[in-house]
Amino acid sequence: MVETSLPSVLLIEDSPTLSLLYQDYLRHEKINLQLVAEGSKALEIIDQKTPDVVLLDLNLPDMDGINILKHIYENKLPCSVVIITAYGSVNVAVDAMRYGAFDFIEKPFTGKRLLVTLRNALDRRSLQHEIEQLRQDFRNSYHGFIGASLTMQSVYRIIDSAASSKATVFITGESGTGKEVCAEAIHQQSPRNKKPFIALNCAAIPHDLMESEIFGHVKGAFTGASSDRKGAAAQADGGTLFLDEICEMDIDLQSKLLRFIQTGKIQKVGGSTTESVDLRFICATNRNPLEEVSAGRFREDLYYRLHVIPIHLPALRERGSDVLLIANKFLTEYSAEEHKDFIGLSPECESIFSNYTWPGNVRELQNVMRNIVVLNNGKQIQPDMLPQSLKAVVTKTVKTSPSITHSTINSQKSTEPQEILPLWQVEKEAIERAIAYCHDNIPNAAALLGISPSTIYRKMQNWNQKQ
Amino acid sequence: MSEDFYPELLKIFLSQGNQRVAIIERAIMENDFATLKNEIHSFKSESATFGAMQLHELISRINSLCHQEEKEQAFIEAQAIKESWQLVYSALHQ
Repeated sequence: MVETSLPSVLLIEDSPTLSLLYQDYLRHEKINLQLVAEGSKALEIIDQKTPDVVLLDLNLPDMDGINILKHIYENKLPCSVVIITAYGSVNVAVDAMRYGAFDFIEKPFTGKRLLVTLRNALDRRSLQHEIEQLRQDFRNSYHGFIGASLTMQSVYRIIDSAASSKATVFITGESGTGKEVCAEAIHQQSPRNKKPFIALNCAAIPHDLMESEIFGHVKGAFTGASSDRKGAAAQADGGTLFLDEICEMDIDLQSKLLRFIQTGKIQKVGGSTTESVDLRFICATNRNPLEEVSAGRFREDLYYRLHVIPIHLPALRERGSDVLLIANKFLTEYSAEEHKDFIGLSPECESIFSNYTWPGNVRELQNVMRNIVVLNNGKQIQPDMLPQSLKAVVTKTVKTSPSITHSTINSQKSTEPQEILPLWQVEKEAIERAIAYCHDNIPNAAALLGISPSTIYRKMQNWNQKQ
Repeated sequence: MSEDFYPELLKIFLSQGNQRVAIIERAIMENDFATLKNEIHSFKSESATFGAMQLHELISRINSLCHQEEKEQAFIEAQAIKESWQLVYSALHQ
């Protein structure tokens, strides 16, 4: 009976005597051995189900054995070929090595020699199989992520492992690295994926409304509460609640959130009863949560309650060639949307993209690609099509540019003390300039500035209070 | 090699050898160089594997002549194969 789990070996030998002898040599090996005497029959078997190892005699009655080797080589079939050659035809065997033969054995040979060669060939095949498996596991994209870098492979693996659990995930990473994409990936990969995924940005919602956003409110709980409202926690029942920018949450609300996580019960604002909800929590921040704890802005007990499975998303500049992979993906997508003909980046642009630090990470890259596609035409993206932020980088890379050095020195000399502004005003002007440049598109301005949109909204609130 | 397997293998070698010698004889008679070359090549490995060294040396020499396309000399030398094979056959057949 043929055991399918055993490695398969095909012996192609036209001499019945030698074929029988080799079969006897291999009688104790844990293999599925098939014997054929003709090349045409061997090709049929190889095409039907490629064996792990082929023991190939080159001198066959119906064809030159080298044609079988070429067939395996040209079709990149997954098997190791051992050439069996007569004394004096070693040159032929060496030629065969050029077509990918793994080894050759010269007739007459002992059983021991055949066994050693076959075991080596099987070991090689087993290693090749493992490599093929690893390559298959190496992913270029995963849910909403695009990226083939090693750092991203490890992120994908953590998500795979963490998804089935209910344990809280704490995502950290710079703005624009894909924290919400990560949270959605965890939800989609989890058994909760048929239930809702509710995302709340703790920085984008005013502090006094946050409690109602999470827990809901009853009619008349506060001015404007004209009817009962379900909060995000109740909406996400059975699913996942994602609290983005968790470190921005008001310290008083943090204690209510802690109680909710501990008990699994919510109480609407203004309500007197509690209800149970079944949730998985995912939270994220672009800050260092431990620093926030040290500074007293984030409750330590809440931190430890949430920080069960940490996932750190790498900055785009740490992801190697992912920059170009993502850029090309966006280019294809936006070109189709905008009916443009772009097919790729010029080598100069690829170099600029690879050397730029991308402070706004993927979000910035996304906006840059949109900007280029909308404002330009052509097949290939050229350096002159790049937006101002990247052009500045191009200029900086020109080390011996006298005009730049000159203007930089002049601008430093011309600064008088009375021209120095408070830092918040400099920041305000920079942000306003970016917003104006982006035609009031705050997410785009945020990407160019390398900050999150919620940071701009928060700062705008502060300026309004100052005025 | 397993003990009960050897007689079976020997039987096949002797029967196969008889057939090869007959084909070689016919090839000599019909001046069929392609058949001679092919049979000589196969017989060379078999004779070496079974330790028939005198026969193997003769066949190796003919094999070299075949590769050098020295047809006339190959046919002359091939005439000695039958006698050499009979020695092997009677020694192994006992």
